[in-house]
Amino acid sequence: VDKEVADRSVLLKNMLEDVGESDKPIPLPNVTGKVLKKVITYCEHHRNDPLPQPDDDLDDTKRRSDDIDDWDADFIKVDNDQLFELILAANYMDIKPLLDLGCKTVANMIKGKTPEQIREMFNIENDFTPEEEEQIRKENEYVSLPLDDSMMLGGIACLLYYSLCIANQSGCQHYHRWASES
Amino acid sequence: MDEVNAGIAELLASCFPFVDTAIPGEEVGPTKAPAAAASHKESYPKLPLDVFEVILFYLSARDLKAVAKVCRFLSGAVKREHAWREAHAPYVEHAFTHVLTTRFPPPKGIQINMMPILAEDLYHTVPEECRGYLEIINLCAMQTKGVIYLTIDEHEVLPGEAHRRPGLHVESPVVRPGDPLARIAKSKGEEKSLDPVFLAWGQGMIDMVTKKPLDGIYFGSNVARSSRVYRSMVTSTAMVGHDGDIGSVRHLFPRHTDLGAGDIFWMTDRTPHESFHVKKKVYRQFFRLVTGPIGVWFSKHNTPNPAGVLPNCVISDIDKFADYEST
Repeated sequence: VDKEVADRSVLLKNMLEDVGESDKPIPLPNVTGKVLKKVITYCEHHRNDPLPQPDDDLDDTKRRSDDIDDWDADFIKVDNDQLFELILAANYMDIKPLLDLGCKTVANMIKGKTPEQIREMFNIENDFTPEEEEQIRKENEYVSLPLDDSMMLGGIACLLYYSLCIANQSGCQHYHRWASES
Repeated sequence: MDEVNAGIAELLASCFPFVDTAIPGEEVGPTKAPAAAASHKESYPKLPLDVFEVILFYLSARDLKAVAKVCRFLSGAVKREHAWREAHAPYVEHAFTHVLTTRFPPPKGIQINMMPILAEDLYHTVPEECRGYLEIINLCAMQTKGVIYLTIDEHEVLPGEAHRRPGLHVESPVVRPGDPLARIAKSKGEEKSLDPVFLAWGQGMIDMVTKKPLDGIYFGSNVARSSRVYRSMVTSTAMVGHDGDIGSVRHLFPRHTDLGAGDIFWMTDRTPHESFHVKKKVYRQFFRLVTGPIGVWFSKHNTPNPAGVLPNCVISDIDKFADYEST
């Protein structure tokens, strides 16, 4: 592999700087041959991209979610096991753009999932105590009412909606605006 | 008797494979332990949990809620992500407010953009053809003095098209070193290295005593649900792309309101908002009044006032689109 390609990995770049010019192979015990091949394909394609700077960790642009180009989108179309292995390899070899690409893909997989489905997907153990679970539920949900109260609120909501419809028809569009807020 | 015990053990083992079914006193055979161990689920997560710290960057508020309930580590990570969002793209109750609902005047095909007018002398500085909007302008400019900027855009919009700029954006553009506008931002005080800065485009805040808007932007149209405004503000220049574009960080802004027909809203120049593609052919009238200071007035994109009112800021001959593409 060219040095230019190897330099995409901060781990390899540092190792190469440490050993200097040498033909000795560099061991990568945590990455399988199949995954390494895929990683090299990625690094070869991106060999001319600017290297991430150390202070890029502080860069807010990392939150951008829709800047995956067509080649990357095609590259990352792999099964879940291979995707996780690629992320692990990118994390270990310190290839930030590949790690970000993998994480964006996983974020898309998480969208709309329940906590239980996320646990199942990533084999994560629920380690909350019942008290903690209750606390988290309270922190993340605004209201949880018994059925009777919910039904009563539902009735009120219907009446309110009916009133708004009448108000709207009679030209009071202030109320209509209020109702449209999500 | 041994045969009966063995039968019971076999039956229990088939019903409850995870339970140790050895009869007390009986020696466990060498093959039983590995079989039980193999039946247990692998307990390591498929991804190290610290990798999720990066994954959370790209999740919406709704998905963060779900992740917070998965396990202790992720609950803490979600709290840290919320803290970051609160600092950089905070939920702001007063990022916008509804001002009035009105009936737009009969359309005349008016096309003016950021025309400077005088708040104290609207009657003489608002062009004749725009007088139908005078009452709306007057209501919006009541608290203001000096030069303000009027946009009225009236034309037919075809299905699938957006009348105004589509895509999530803020009005205040970010100027970076090397941008054509960097020189203007530099003249504002930065001499040597210029960090990215927001260029004012109306600014705006709510006076917490009177609860009335100060400066800022008033806008609205005659078509319901053709504009959307978000109850957040952008404080980080790094999030903002060319000409205020923030479409790539849309997931950071959870709450929004769609404007109804004739609604006039007030917002700041860092409030995310967008214009939608229309579903059917409509004649849309768009109104905007920028009542706060602006950093630059573009002679190639903005409309001069026939009464001679000049903008009270730097006038630039830059072509926002062509000149940016060439840099």
